[in-house]
Amino acid sequence: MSLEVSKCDSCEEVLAPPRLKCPECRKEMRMEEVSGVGEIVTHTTVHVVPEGFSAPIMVGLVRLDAGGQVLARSDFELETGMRVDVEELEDGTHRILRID
Amino acid sequence: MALLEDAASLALENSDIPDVDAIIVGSQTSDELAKVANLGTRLADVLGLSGVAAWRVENSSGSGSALLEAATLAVRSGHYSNVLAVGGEKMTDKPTPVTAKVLGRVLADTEIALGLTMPSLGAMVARMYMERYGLSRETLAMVPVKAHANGARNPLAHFRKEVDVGNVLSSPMVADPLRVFDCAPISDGAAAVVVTSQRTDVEIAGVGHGTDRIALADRRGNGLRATQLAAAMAYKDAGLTPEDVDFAELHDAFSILEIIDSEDVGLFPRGEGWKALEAGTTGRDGEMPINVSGGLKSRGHPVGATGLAQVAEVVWQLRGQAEGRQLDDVKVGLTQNIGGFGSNNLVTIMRRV
Ligand SMILES: [Zn+2]
Repeated sequence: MSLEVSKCDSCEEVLAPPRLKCPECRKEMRMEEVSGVGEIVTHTTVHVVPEGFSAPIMVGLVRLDAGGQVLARSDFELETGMRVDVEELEDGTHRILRID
Repeated sequence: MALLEDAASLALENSDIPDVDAIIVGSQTSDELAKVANLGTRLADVLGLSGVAAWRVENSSGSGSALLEAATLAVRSGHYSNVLAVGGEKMTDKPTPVTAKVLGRVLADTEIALGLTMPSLGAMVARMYMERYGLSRETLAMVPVKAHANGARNPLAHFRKEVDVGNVLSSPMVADPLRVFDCAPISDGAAAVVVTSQRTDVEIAGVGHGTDRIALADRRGNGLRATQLAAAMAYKDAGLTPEDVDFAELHDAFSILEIIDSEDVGLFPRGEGWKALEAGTTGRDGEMPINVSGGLKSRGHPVGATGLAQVAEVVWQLRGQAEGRQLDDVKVGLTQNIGGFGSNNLVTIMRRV
């Protein structure tokens, strides 16, 4: 799926979700659509969740091939190093999708 | 308020300084969890110090060290001579899910939206470290085991009961791989220190403070950059190096953090903090005792008090007043205190003079 990220031309930082200014050099960031494909860096299954959520919550940190990292929920068990895709949901959060 | 008042009164009594000219108080979230605000004025009022300057510092779970930094700089500047530094938190009035939600407000919006809490991020950091550096789940359990063994000797600790690796590994899962015994408890408590321009037997030799990007996904590199920046600043301020440190109190809100913190402050090389734990180097009889007080896990983690509780432990150790847990011949002690999930951290170095 395609994701919107922001890129800094000065320090080459890539951030998802996108930000207007680079947190490192205060330069304005450039918006870009990139592929959500990447690799699981780490993950957890949360059993004790805050009010308003139901357990368990599976979540993974994905390093995008296009640069940058995104934290996203998952409906299936994750493993470090797993190749996955990421989609952006309407509420602005992200979800991990399987790659066959 | 009673907790803050008690800690402040004790510190004033022990300091031989009857009058302070400023009060700095810290709490992460007294307004929400304890329904009390305007802490500086209230404290001046109940302590019979009405009239002196008083203000509050908030830096989430790093409030204690941040307000000590403010007190130190206020005295160093010459503007104030004696500053009372007090931090505290009353956390057990609300049901745990409510407290957890309030504490989680320090996280990035993207993390809160996913339903993540502090332990969820701790769990992801733990897995990353374990897979990258070969730390086993059993060895990680030695952090809370050591914390409880130390806390059992500390009359001021929240928990004074020893536990073994089996207890840790059979405690309920919070966020895989972290279990209940990997997480610091919800505690009530307060700590206070008087900072003075007069010569005393213990000096605040160095203070350091750093931040990192608030969202875990936006951070780069290994460990917590905010700690690394704070440590570099504190060592420079003190004119000391990690080799000069005799013992440390580190922010073990989650078991994995004690190991990462010990590397971030330069006591062990990256990826080798767990080997020092396993070898007993960080035990109370080891070469580099870490968290002889019991740490956040066993001493307790009343968030606004924690940084100052660490400092109080170091001062007692340096003065030979650490009843039941005194280390032999220590001259330099270091504290490291985390605000947010590792996004706003402080390092304080104290020396016996
Ligand atoms: Zn930049």
